[in-house]
Amino acid sequence: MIGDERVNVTVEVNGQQRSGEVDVRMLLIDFLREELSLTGAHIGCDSTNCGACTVLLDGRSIKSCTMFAPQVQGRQIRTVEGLADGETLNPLQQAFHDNNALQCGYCTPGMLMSATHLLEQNPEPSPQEIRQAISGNLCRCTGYAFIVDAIEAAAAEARGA
Amino acid sequence: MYPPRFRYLRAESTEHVLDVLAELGADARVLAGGASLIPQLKYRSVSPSPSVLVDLGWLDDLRGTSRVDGQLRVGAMTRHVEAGADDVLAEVAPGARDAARSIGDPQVRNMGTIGGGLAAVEATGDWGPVLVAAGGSVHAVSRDGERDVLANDLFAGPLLTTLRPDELMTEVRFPVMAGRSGSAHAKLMIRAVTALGSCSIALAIDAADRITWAGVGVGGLTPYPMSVPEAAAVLVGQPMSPELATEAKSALSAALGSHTDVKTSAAHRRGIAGSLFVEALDAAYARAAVAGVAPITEEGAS
Repeated sequence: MIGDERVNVTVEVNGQQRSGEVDVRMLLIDFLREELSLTGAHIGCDSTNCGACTVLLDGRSIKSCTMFAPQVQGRQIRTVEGLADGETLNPLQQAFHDNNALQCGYCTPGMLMSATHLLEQNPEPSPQEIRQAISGNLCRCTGYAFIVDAIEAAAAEARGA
Repeated sequence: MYPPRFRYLRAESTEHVLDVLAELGADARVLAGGASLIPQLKYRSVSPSPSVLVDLGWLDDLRGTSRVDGQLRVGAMTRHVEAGADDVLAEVAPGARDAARSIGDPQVRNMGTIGGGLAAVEATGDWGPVLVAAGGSVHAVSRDGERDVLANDLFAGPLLTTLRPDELMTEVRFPVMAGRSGSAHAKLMIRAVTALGSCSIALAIDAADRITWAGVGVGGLTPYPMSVPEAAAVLVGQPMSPELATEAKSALSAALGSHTDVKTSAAHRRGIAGSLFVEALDAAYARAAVAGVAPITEEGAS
């Protein structure tokens, strides 16, 4: 019979090799949360809209609810768990804290990963570019303004401004 | 949400895919980026549901652009973000660049592909109208041979192309128009998920600024991407004027018919189409008017 019903998925996550033997239909978000116990990425809509499931795949932001685990075989993933250094928040996370960029926190890991992708592509984004970069991430609490401020602040700090 | 059971196969080469499709036909489906197909699978709206999913994700020879024989060829696995950043595509088909940069959101642009977007035939898809307006085509390959399918002939219905189950779309092909040509893609959306419609126009003008060729495509305003030759016909042979735009806009309106669905009424759609048409026409014409003009040098305008 052509094809497999279960596969072993081995992937580098936050610099570490991780693997799991799963049903080929397992969504990447569930692979991260259930197989690898990385519960930072959240399921908000399960329909490719809200972006709470956003992680970085080979350096690009993607919605992990819209990918099957086998699709990331041998690739590199970064999740929110890879941002902090132990107990020390990274500058972007610190900026979110300092600028009240979260309330319930549900969208926050996705926002942080989209912001991380933006700042790696564009270290000096305008507010409009920031809004474009997070246009795939919905927030029900903050009204976005403080999130934009936080990302702008983190970018400025990184430039030594 | 989970799709019905399927078996998964990683494609090792295009030849491998053709062998599998030849054997399994409609029992198999190829997986490009998954940005359209995976949500459809999760909603269980793919019929028939595939027994085997063939993942094209590692076929790098299906990515990238090349200029061959008066065509710009875009590999079917080229991600929207890559298409939107491609300088050759921007030069040959600026409307395609507009479209690529407007699809969804950054994550969806990182995931989705031009081939997958076309094959999904979503009503609000952007590549359909762009390719229709450009008079472009897709290149399909199977064990029985190869053929080119014009964009106008590609869409059979919602979520349905005219490609056979044993065919693999390998490339999307845009004609390179000689001389003064321009294209533009106008879109109405409220965030990615509420794309209400788009209008894509490609045209060429002569030395007297008369329109010599035009193509018009609409998306999201009909059940699947549609060509509107009636509006294009009004434009050809004429110099641009507000009166011409209005006349062509009426032809567009009449051609759209009475499609109504949960998002909005037929009357609203005609209004949206008209506004987008004028916006795209102005932008396409402006691009054509400056095409072939010497670039401004560092010393100033020549």
